[in-house]
Amino acid sequence: MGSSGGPVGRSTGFASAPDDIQAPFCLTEDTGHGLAVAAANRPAGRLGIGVGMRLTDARALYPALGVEPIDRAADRRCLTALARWAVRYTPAVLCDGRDGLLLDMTGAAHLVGGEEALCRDVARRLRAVGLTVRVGIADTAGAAWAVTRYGKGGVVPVDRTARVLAPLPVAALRLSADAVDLLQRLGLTTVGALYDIPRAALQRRFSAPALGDAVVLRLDQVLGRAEEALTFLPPPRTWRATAHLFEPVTERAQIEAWLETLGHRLAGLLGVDGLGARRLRLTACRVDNRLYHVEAGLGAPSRSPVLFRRLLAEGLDRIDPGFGIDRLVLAADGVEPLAPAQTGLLDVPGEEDPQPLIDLLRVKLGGDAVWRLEKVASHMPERAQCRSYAPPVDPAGPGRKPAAPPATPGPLGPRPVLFLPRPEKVEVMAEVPEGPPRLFVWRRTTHRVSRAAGPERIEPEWWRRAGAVGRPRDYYYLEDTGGRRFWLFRHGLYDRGDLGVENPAPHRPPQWYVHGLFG
Amino acid sequence: MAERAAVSLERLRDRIARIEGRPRRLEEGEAEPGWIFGAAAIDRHVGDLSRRDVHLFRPAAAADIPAIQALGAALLARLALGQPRRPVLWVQTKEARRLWGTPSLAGLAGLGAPAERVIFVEAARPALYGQAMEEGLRSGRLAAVVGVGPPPAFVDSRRLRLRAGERATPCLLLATRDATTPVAAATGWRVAAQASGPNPDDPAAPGRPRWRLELMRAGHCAPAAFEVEWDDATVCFHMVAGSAAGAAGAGTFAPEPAVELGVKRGAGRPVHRLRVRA
Repeated sequence: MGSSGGPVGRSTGFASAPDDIQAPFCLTEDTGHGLAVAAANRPAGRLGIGVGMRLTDARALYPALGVEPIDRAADRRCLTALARWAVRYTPAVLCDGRDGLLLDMTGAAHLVGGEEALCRDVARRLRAVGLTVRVGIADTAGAAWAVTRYGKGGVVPVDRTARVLAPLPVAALRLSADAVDLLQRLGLTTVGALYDIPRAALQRRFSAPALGDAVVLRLDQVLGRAEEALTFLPPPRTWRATAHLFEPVTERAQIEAWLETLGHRLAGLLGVDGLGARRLRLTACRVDNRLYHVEAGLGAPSRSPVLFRRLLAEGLDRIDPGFGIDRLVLAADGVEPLAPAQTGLLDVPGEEDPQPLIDLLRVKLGGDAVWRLEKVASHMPERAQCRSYAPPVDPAGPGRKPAAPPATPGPLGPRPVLFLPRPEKVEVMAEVPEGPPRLFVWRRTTHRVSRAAGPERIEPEWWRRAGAVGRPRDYYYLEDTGGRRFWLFRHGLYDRGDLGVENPAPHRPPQWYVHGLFG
Repeated sequence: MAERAAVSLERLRDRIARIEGRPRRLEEGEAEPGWIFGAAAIDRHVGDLSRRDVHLFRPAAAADIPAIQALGAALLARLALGQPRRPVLWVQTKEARRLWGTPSLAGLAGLGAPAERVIFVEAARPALYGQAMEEGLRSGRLAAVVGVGPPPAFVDSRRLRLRAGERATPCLLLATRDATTPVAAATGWRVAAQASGPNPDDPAAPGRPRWRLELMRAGHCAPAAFEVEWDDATVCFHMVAGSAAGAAGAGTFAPEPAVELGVKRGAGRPVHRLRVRA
């Protein structure tokens, strides 16, 4: 910090507004006197639509104006998330009003290459995600606020605050509307005009002493002559259990034993808050400061130390203890509410919830190697089911009826037990082009068809894809002389051109595929 | 005192299980409800398929691999009659999926199997295939574990048997190869697809699936062969009337292993000799 001696020191403020829609667009808020514009994008601003304007007036200016209600709560959440992100610059961050962040950069700016570089870095990163940003750095929080909102932003040199702020309007002092109004009526339109007025004289101008005090206080705060208490964002809550090991451990079994201990501690911490872990991370710190991370995800929130140990034990092989591990940290990186439930008095086998098993298999085999099948309302056989990686929405817990399956129409014809990963081309001989095959060659084996059922025609789902509509398929259920059953389809039709009647236009001949196998 | 408390706890648990419609935990030494084919001749000869053991099904030819998967699904449907809520773990190797595809929801449901309760697992490496099945058997939360992949090595199959016994979870091994390597299993079958049964609606169309089941090896009964038809409406196997294979195994109940009845090479050998060879 420079020699200015301000109570807060170098502060950065930046304001933002989304501006990536090309058409005039605004967000509205119900003010009690009808809808008013709460935010407008740049094209709307060029039309003269500004914050505070009635929506009816704005619509009169531009009837095709895009309008959405503003969601202040979502804005707030977004701004808080942005504040959490800004911790990358300094630990002291707070949300400043509805659209600003205030960062106390005292002693931290040099880490990103100085104040100018800091401004550029913040602006570049936020613009990259589509935000409109103005960044300013000044000696005090108030001065930074003023230069970002009423000035040009940028870095205010140390001890030049008063001079830079002098031409700004009095509203830059974070005053109430009444105070600004009165000052303007007195002809005191700029901050600089207030510098030379004796403080007692200034205070006397206001009928309400509180207003006068506020003006003087704000002025003092901006110039660094008065303290300003700032409440910075508390660090996010973490759930972690740490073991500092006096005697470094070198054996896997020892690590596993500690893992269990830490699991119990972490489960206790989570239990107090009524939470369950969804993501776990074990950090093992070796004596030479090398870090190992073992991570595991859970399909459903859990507080079971046994489960924690089993999931993470899979990854312990990757840890090379070397001369020993002297610190183990078990953290729940992701948490979800989990109502307290009575756990078993004893370790009772036969519990029906398979989620712990699924989590364990995911850790072993990979996240996408374990799935269930779910029905999808589709006529295309390969789309009539999809892999579901989430636990079932309504688990048929004890005492509960299993959820009724969604009312999708069942398939009309037989469906194979096995679907091949993709339909495989076959050579087919049929008695008549539109009839079932007599003989087909699949995987270099000739199958003579003894019995056949079909066709079941399935038209492509034209409503899913605009433009290129696929060809219809005719499915046949075939049995060969060996008793093996297949599900073949003919992709496309023999149109009249093929039969030589009319329409001699070039036509792709239909192609036959094996799509599934019956047992 | 502690013993009495434990006994009353057990009773309470059983009552709760009954109210909730869950299968009751078995008492020490109590017989389990039968997991039978439902076809008289097989049930008379083989009796229950053990619910705490491994059953191996080998294909007679590579083209019969879909048939054993369908048979496995049919047996799951039989099993689900007694355990209506528990999920099933269906483990398959990546190779098995690439060559023979994955079971379909509609197809499994068409056979009567509890398709929506099947958890599918794909093992990228053969080692993981065995591990996944073992984890499933160890969890004690499943109705059954089904494995579609190469037959496991003898030692691995021993481990599976032990795990299956610990938590009373049956394991169906649906082998994608008919190798003659010894595999520890309660029963060993060879399965071949047969021409399907008559279709009452359309004589030219395939009917109910039929399989020829050769019981190659079982600890408690002689090898035999059966021809069965799966009826998904009654969730039951039926013997195919008038088939020679059905008659061979059906009428004769031999209490001791009879080598003469052996259908194919090695079929009649007692299990312990196979173990010695391994």
